[in-house]
Amino acid sequence: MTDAPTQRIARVTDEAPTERIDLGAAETQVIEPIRESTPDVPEPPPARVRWWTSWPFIVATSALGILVVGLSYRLAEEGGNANIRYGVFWAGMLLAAIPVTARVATGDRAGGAWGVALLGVLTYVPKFLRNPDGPAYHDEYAHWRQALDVLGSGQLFRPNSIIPIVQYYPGTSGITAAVHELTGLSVFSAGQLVLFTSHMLVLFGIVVLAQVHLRSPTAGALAALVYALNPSEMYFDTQYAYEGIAIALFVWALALTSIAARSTGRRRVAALVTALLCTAACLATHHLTTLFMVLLLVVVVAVVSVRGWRTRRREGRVPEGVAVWWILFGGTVGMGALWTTFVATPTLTYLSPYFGGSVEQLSDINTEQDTSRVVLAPSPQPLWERGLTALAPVVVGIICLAAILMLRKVLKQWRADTLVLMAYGLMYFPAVLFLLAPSGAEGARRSWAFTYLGIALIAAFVIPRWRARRPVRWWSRGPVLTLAFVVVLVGNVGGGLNDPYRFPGPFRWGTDTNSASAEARTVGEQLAARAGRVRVVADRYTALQLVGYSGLRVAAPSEGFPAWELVQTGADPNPRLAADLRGSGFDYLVVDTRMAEEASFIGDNYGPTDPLIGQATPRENLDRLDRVPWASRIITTEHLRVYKLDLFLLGANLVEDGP
Amino acid sequence: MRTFLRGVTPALLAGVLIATALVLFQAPAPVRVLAFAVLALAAGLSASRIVRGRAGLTDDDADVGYSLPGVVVLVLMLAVVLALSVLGIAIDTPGIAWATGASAFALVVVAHVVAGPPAWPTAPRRALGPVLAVVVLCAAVAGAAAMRPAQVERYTQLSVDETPPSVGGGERVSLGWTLLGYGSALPAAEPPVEVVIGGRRLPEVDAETGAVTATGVQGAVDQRRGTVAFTAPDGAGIYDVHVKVGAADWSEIVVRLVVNQ
Repeated sequence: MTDAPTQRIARVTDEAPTERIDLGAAETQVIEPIRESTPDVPEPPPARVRWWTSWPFIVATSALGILVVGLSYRLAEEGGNANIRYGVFWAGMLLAAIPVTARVATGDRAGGAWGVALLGVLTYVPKFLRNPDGPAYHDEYAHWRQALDVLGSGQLFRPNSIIPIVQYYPGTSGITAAVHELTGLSVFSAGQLVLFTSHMLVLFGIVVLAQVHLRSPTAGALAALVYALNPSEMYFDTQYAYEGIAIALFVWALALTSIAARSTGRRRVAALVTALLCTAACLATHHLTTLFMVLLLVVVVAVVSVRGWRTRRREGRVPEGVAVWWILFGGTVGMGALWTTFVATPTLTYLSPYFGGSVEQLSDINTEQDTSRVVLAPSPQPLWERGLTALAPVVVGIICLAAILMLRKVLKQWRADTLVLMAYGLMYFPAVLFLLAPSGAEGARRSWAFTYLGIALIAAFVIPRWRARRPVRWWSRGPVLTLAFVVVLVGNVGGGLNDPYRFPGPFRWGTDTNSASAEARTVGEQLAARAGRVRVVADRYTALQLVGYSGLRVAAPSEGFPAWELVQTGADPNPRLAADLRGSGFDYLVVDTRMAEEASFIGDNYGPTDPLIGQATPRENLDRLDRVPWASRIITTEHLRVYKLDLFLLGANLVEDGP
Repeated sequence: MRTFLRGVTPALLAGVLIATALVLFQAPAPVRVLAFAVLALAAGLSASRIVRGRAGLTDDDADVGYSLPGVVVLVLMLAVVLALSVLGIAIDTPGIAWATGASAFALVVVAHVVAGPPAWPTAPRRALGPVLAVVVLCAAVAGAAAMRPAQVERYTQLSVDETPPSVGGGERVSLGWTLLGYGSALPAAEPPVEVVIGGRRLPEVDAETGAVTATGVQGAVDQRRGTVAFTAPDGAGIYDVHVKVGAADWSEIVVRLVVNQ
């Protein structure tokens, strides 16, 4: 057993001499013995490198694919048939991704590492090309503004009116500020650099994690390849926001702890300390990632401890690594408790609607059809992509089923932490159900990036075993696996973010991305120039521009603070709201008249409490603002109007007759 | 000492000092990007060596060795700003440069002590292929980005300089306004100006319209300023005053005029 890893290395390096990477001492060193039984992993010999898996060809097709993706964005910008731009986009992506995937699948270690690096680039490029120069996504505005405010004030923990909780998680803005100050790059470019680094680190973290758990270099690259297919990978976790950074720290905390659990002495201490540092950084960066880590660690320590207890009773020894997981768990929970108690106190209030609301709405789906989300409903997304979106979980399910069948007979041979990480992947399937619930869709989307870690391990466990079988069956041959790769890649990206997030395009009212306009931006800048960083009532789309570019503070409407009454009803605001607005210093109202031309693409103009969800704002509601005594239109463009509010005049009458 | 002087450590330390100085003296961005790369590599590689110790790379460590410096840099950057925040030091260029430089310097020294002198990188020839690939891919990304058509929004913005204070009946009221052109120049022809109070158009107003001039407003092409003066109504009350500048329907400002007796 102890010799097995050494033999594997010899086989890899002997059979692929021209593709060997510089392993340094690795080629002569014996890996530390695994003290708990770990079954031998079938390591199919590396496939021969053919012309279509040679690096010049892979790089050329990748470059060409990137250009084709750029072309699809140009087509999207010009409007026109959605089928064409989606088709062109996928032609480019598959042209770029399939050859490198084939290279990773050949199984040579050096090819795997470079292949993972190239896959990291290819899965980052679509989002980068989407908006290379400035923020476009909702969360990007929030974090960009946060970084600007940190730099402007020289202090962390600045208030944020787009995502208030961002104030208490200074990781993204702090790292961006540091990189900006050190490099002199623009704040957004500094953020892009940080996100790109994090994106690559996630994939290499998965490589390390899978290698450690599955004891196979091939499995490492394969796991990273499968993880790169997760629905959040290409757009959501590459946006300039906290999850993209935190998830790298999450993966590395797990990878380093896994190394520590299999090491001894100084190496164990060093790996564990670094893992704890990653956890602390994760904690200061993103609440939800920390929560997912705690949930995972609860199960890991429970299962590892029970397995350890049973082993001690049966064999009289404690398996190694139990204490390591407990230390990480204790450290995470302890630091998390301190952070949420003394620094990020509103965290629980912020997160609770994602979970409680989703469960409640999921249970209501059978009885109240109107409240459920229509999955993949009105959207320019072509039918074939929607079909693949529905098919992707099926393909993943088949792989997981195969893993369960393979594992059930050898369950006891595998370490408990490995099994728990794999089982964590199975949480992906209940999360898919949550897509049916309106607010659960958000929670479900957020979970994919985490649960796919387990899916990646499962796939990296199963696929080499399929391919190692002799004779190789039809379902484990290259074309079938390539087809599965295409289905999961296209389907998962399709199930991730909506059309306006993925593609640029002409102005479309009611999207965070394509409702952005220079008109709104410059109106905000003008208002800030004449009145300072004042408090403003605005729709959610204009608000992003006003906050992001001008630092204005925008009201967050809620049931208790229905600021939308100013626009979404044909009457004056009720006295209580007027008093709240006056008392809080909301002296300005910004209106985009395009909200009266069409219904919002995503449904509402003022958040979930908007009374006109799914409807355009009546034009009369906007025009009456020019006839009420409490509002003066002081800045105007063709589409934007800025009103100065004087709510003390609420109830006063205008003189009907002029001079 | 002889080992120390012959090894990579002095070069790393010198690199850290020079990079810190370049950041502190606000060198141009491309130079500072290189300086940042030096700081990040020195700190990241050293921290990675501290974690791995003298044993060097094992098979599992190969990918750890390549990736851990990146992880360390992320954590270090965050640690630097958090430390500055806790110590009450401003998060600005000097604070971050000093803190990062000092951290990188300390990590290089500690790595030398804990993990021994680092070796110079070997086999630079193997870097040629990846460098070429990076160049090709960067060119492709630049080409793809250049395919996007440039979007220019053309619009005009009208604003009132200040809202009118309360006035007495029959007093003269003067309102200043500004037109800003975005994306294209404002029309050369003077815009018509009219005032409507309480639903009635004033037959006579004193309108002064300035010429189109350059503007310092960010993003705007040019501007035109003007004033309009009229007599307030005699009767007390709150009047709505519409000042229309130009022919477009939207191009009016609407203010409330409070007339006292």
